[in-house]
Amino acid sequence: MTRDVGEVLVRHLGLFGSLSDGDKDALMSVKGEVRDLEAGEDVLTDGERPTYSVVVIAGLLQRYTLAPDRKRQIHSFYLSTDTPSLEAIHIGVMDNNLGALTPSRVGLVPLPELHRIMDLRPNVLGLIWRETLVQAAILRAWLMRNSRLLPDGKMAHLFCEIMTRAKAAGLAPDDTCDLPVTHEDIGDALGMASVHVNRTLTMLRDAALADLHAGRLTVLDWPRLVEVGEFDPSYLHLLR
Amino acid sequence: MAVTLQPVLVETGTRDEEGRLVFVDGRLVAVLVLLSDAHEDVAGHWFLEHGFGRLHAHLTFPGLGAATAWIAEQCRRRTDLADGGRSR
Repeated sequence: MTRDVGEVLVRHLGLFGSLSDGDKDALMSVKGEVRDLEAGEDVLTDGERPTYSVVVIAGLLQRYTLAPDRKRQIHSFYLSTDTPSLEAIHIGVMDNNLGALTPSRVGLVPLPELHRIMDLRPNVLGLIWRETLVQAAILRAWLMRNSRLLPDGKMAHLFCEIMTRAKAAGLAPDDTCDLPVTHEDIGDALGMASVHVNRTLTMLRDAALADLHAGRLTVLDWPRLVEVGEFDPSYLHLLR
Repeated sequence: MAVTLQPVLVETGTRDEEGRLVFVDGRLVAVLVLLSDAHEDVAGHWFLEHGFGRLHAHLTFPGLGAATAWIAEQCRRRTDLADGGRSR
């Protein structure tokens, strides 16, 4: 398991472009506070002025906003080695919340540390920029999925994305990965009622496409899941 | 305001098939579906499968009485909104 803030940065940014040995050394020198979060605990909140950027060392985080009636919309799930809030470098006030869905360990990288590295290493600066652009691409894909796909397609698309990202991060060696979410969490990500989530999960399981059980996501038939979800991974802009 | 229920079979693609068409003053306002034991903690509850107009929501009720009471309340509010409460 990755234990170090710098190691997370090397692994994650390395998904989107190549890093020289000098880039890696510079990133490994980045220092940050390690913090353990309980399930349901936020690490950055709406309206806050961020002084650090968050990297996920272990666990599962959500980015979410609350409607006036306190209903939640989840905008993304962040897996181990993801860097959910690099935009904090340039955004003065948080417009969303970042919190743990399950007991998680995060690294808090002070923004001056990131500025220091970006000044020293232009290639790292470029990759950080690319990473935040990919976040925007993912958000467009989520909007398209939630607005245009049918319930089974929505869920299949989400599972395809999670599995693709987990594989790229080395978290899913055998078509199975951790996804410790409730039906309510999935419903709040897909814009579906829990009843519809339960029905759709049952449908995917009965059709032997995928299963989500006891916090583990298993893909049973990748080609058919991709077809049902109309999934094209190009929006993730992964090198491999 | 008269709320009437009409039994119906609903195609949900699952074992949730027993349903009720809900009429208010003769107009169809909602479709309720009884949740099967596949839903564990809410099995036996009634799900607002589809609500028309302001009833567009996905809620679960412990019984038909609670469901129809909520629907009647929403329709009453809709009437109030439409005529500024003069019909009360």
